[in-house]
Amino acid sequence: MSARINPGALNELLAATEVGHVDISLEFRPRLDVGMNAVEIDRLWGEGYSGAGVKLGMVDTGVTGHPNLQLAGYSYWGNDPTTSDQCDHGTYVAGIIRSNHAIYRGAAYGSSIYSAKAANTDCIADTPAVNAALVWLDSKGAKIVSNTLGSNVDSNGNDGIEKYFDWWVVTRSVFLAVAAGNTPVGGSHYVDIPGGAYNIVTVGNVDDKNTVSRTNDWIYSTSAWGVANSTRAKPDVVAPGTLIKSTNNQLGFSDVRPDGLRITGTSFAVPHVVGLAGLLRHLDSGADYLELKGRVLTGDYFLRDTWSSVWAWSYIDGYWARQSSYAASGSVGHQQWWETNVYLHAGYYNTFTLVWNREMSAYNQVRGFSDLDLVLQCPGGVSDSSTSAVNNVEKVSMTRPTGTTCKLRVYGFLPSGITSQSFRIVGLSI
Amino acid sequence: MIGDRRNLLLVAIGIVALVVAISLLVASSPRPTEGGFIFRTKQSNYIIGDTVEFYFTNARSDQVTLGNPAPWSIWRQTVDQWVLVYFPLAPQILWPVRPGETLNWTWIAENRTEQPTRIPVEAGEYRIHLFVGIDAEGIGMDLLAYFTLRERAP
Repeated sequence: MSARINPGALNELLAATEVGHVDISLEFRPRLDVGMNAVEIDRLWGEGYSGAGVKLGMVDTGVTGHPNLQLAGYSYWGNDPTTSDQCDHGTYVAGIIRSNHAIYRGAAYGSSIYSAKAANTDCIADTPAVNAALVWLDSKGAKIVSNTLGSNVDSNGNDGIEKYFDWWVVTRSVFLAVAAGNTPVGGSHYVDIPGGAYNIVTVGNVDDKNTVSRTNDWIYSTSAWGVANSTRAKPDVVAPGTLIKSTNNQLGFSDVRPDGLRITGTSFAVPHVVGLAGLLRHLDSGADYLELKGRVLTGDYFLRDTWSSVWAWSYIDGYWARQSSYAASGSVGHQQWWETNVYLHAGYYNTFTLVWNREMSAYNQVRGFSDLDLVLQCPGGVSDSSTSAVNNVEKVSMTRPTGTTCKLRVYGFLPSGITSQSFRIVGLSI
Repeated sequence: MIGDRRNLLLVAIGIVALVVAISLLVASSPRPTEGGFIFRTKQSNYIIGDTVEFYFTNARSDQVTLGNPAPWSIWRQTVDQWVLVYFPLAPQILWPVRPGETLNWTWIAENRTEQPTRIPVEAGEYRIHLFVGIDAEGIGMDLLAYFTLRERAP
């Protein structure tokens, strides 16, 4: 018999006395197809979700016309008065999101995608162009947005553009996915500005080794992680971003540009996450940006409840993200508890993710950062807690041998100026 | 006989002139800095509002990698530290630089009002950072190019 199972189940299978031998089959497929299958986005397609009716946006280097790319709208904000991609970059990103090719299919191939070209003629962008691009995308109703433009400067989360991004996410209710940045060999491993912003979803690059199986996947050596002068957990998620085959400027598909440059970097991991968020919005049109963030972070292939520099909070998994059906929202005051009852089914693995925003009073001014803790308390003194003082994500998990009603609790420690901190909790039970 | 001596003299003068010219050319050409790279501004002094031109040449025999196509940043010297003034936003794609290849960039030395968190562009000493990954050796190198920015004469 054959089956697709996660690594935990594989260990169980290998240990079972009834099992004589296990063959691990590595499926080799064209690379864009591999990426989508590796992160189980294809399972959402199988259920009929394509991103139809969902508007996605991309801040990038423009998109060149391609038979498998249909844009809902495009504009430019740099000094290059064209909307096409002169940099051999944005067209690849667009294909990962929206290509409608039968094999090289983009994650949200049925969505409406808007391309905001922020790059100048030299393929470099300035902050005002990026900010203007975000404003334009918002005017088009694109509430799930990718930004692959970044620096090579270590982030501490407080640069002007990072504050702007945090403010933009909160005030416009935008799911904004941003490239973590690439660290060449020997360099500082910290995420690059603007990847350290709090309210965005920062994305790192996994090498899927061109196989659907994830047993051999690993974070790409140059994918940035960590925040300068802090123990903050960044990136938030990782996704395939190594040698990604996608739509190119020559009207075909490739994972290497004509000049030999490999389509590798955190740039190409971001559109996988944006596409997945688009599918989740198609699945549940009522899921706001914070719930989408919670679902993408909860839907970790490894089903872990801790952050690691390799897999972040989540190596994105379409199927698990889709199964993350529990969602609660609430708010908590300073040194107060918020709680609710949750029922944990016997033998099920349960994980809960708490997400909230750094609060902004203006585009360049932080109102404050609340320290929230998440606790799952079950009868008999059994509990799990997540109590970082620096992150705006907490995760807990638990499996109970018998069906049990437990308390899910959030504790708030708020700075002056914030009287109540709103949050979202997303849960997965499998 | 006299004609032969004159010809020999002309040849000798020509050789000396050639040697001098080559020496001058070599002396004026940028030499690779540590690590086998050239990273410098085209001028050492600029006026506020000028376009600062700078370039990076991989003078090594092996390919090296940048984090993106423009991974540089501008810093100004204050009393006790170097403070970030500007950086560009570039596609986050790994950018190999082949042996002998040169990348040219520019920065307009003027204030950007959209970045209130960074210090203003004023007359002073500046440096440009560029990080290069040397794949063959498994190490990286932070390259610096210095220039001075002056006020425009009234």
